[in-house]
Amino acid sequence: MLGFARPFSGRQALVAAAAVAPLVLATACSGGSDAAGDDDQLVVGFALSQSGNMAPFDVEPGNAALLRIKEINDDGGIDGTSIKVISKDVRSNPDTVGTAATELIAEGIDLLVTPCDFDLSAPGASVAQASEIPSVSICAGDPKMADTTTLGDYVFSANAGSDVEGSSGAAWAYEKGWRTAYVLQDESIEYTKSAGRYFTAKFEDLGGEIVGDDAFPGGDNVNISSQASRLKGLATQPDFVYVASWNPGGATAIRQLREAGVTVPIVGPAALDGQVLLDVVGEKASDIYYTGFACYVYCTGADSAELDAFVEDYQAEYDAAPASSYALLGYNMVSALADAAGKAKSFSGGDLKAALEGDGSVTTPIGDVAYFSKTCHKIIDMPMTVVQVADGAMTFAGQQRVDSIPDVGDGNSCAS
Amino acid sequence: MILEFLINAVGLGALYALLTIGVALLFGVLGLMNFAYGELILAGAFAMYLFRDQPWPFALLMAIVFAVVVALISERLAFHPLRNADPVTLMIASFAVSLALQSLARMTVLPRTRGVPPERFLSHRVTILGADVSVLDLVTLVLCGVMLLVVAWLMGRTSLGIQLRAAAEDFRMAASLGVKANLVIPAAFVIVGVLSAIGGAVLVARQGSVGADMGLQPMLIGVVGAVLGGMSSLKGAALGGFLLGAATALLESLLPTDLIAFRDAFLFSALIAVLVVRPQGLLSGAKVRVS
Repeated sequence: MLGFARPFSGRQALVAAAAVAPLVLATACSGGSDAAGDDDQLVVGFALSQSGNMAPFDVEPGNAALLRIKEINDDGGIDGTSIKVISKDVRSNPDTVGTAATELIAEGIDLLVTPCDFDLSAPGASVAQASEIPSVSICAGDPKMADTTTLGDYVFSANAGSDVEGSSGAAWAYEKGWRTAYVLQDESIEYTKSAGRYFTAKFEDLGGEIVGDDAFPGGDNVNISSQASRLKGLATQPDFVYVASWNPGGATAIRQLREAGVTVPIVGPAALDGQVLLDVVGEKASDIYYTGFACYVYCTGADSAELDAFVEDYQAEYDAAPASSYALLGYNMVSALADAAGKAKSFSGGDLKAALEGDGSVTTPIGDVAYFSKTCHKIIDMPMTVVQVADGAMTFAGQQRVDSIPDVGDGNSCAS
Repeated sequence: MILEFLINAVGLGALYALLTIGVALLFGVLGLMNFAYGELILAGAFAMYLFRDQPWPFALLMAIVFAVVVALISERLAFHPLRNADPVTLMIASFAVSLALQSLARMTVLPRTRGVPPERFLSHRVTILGADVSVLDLVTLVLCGVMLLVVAWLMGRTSLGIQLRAAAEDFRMAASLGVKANLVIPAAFVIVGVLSAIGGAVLVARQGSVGADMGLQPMLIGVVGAVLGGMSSLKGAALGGFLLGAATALLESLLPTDLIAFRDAFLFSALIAVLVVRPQGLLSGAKVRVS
């Protein structure tokens, strides 16, 4: 099948050429046009996807971020300074992200928030870098997002990263006593590739063995029957399979593995998180684990009053509970941004960047999280929550921290 | 192992053939390159999500109802007023219909991808001649195969089929010989609606998810398969779709791991090679109605 990860740009261009653009009813652009950029307000531009295939990863973190901003403003702002938000829908389209970033910067933002994906954030981050305005991806996982030399030194990501996710998955499985792994690699985005790469490196560092690997193109239309029969045809089954993929394609891949009769445990990264995984794999599927950010709403057993409070506030604001734990990353990001803005000498790009790179440990509903350093522009220390999927339910299976991420030679400045 | 592969490859081929004849049928009869085909599949798939707690055959029936209704409404509102328009105008109109339907779905019922739990009986596995195959693969094969036979019978043996083929051959001539445009065109849309509903139901059973943009890839498969087989011949289109599906399954099985990410590059290189030799498609008739 035609495995496009983001299949829209070509067709949208054609449609635009046909001048039926007004039909794109979902284009929701909001935003004030009044002059901003003065120091009595911190103006943050949100260039996130409200529609398209990345919307499931952008909408809720964005909402949670707005909730945290509202809380901070209601509490009197950052030392008396309120936070103002200007939002633009980037429709999961890389071309739109760059344009939205340019417009937001023209409107005078102090900080730019970009989508939850490296591939999608890159055009916006590059624009902000050129204007020396810090841009923070709301939850992109690929470690290239945090590397000051790939996109630039004004670019940050408010996520621990797929390197940490892959490594945590490896460490957790190893501690469980599993010694042989099989890697099923989704090739559609950078996030999944690095999750698989770092899983492999960490698992081998720990002394585990990768007994085989396979790949599938990923995207919206997943069919892995050939891969599943190859895996089933192995003389000895591995202790577990690491499925380096994302929703909904990753959930589909797991479902197809189980339907093909692969019964060994499955471990995966955080992008499998959420209600949709449960719905797609169904009630019969068991022995599935992933390293997420939190266990709440659709997941039981974390017993955290702070998380419950977050969910309650979110529900009160948006009439629906978050459907994935990515929401929490958006909420936590604002805490980190506000903390840095409070320490910054001014809201100029350079001062904000310096403050973000400073010592920034903030308290969040999942405990203390250490954000950004001079060389590592993503979350430096955050516990990953391992969630177990079995019999139609998700349960808390533990927290996993990793001390170090392996150096796989990709120039990751956060690796040891 | 070989039998498993064959059932998988033939199943995927049959599914692709089903998708392809939906595209080719409207192109043949109306000269309409229908890019809104994907949204008919979406309508069927959405019914599968909506009635996921009901028995599967009932959900399938509702999928057919949903897709046929959407097909007829789109015919009435968008394509009927443009009946005598240029094929390019029709094609652009189908883009508009496609995007409007997709946006509507996204704004109302499908703002995010929804999961559809596996159907119990479809996720069973059975042993046939020593091979371990899933019921889903068998159902895909049977359902798509039966649909292809039904369409072949309909087109070959019934009065409606003869009228449809006559209209595909020369619409004005057929009309002056008494073929009613107001009958054959909606009939073609109904057939396409049924085909896309079956396609959508099979896709949902395989993928387990329904999203507003899920119709794009099946639609592209249909278009590519139809081009490969020959746009003006239904048999050719079915063959093209079948070969595309079988080749996809074959590439998945044979390509080394490092190259699987580039599967489509291999697939489309082969397609280009075929089209260089046979630009009119594998089984094209004498004339292709495209301006």
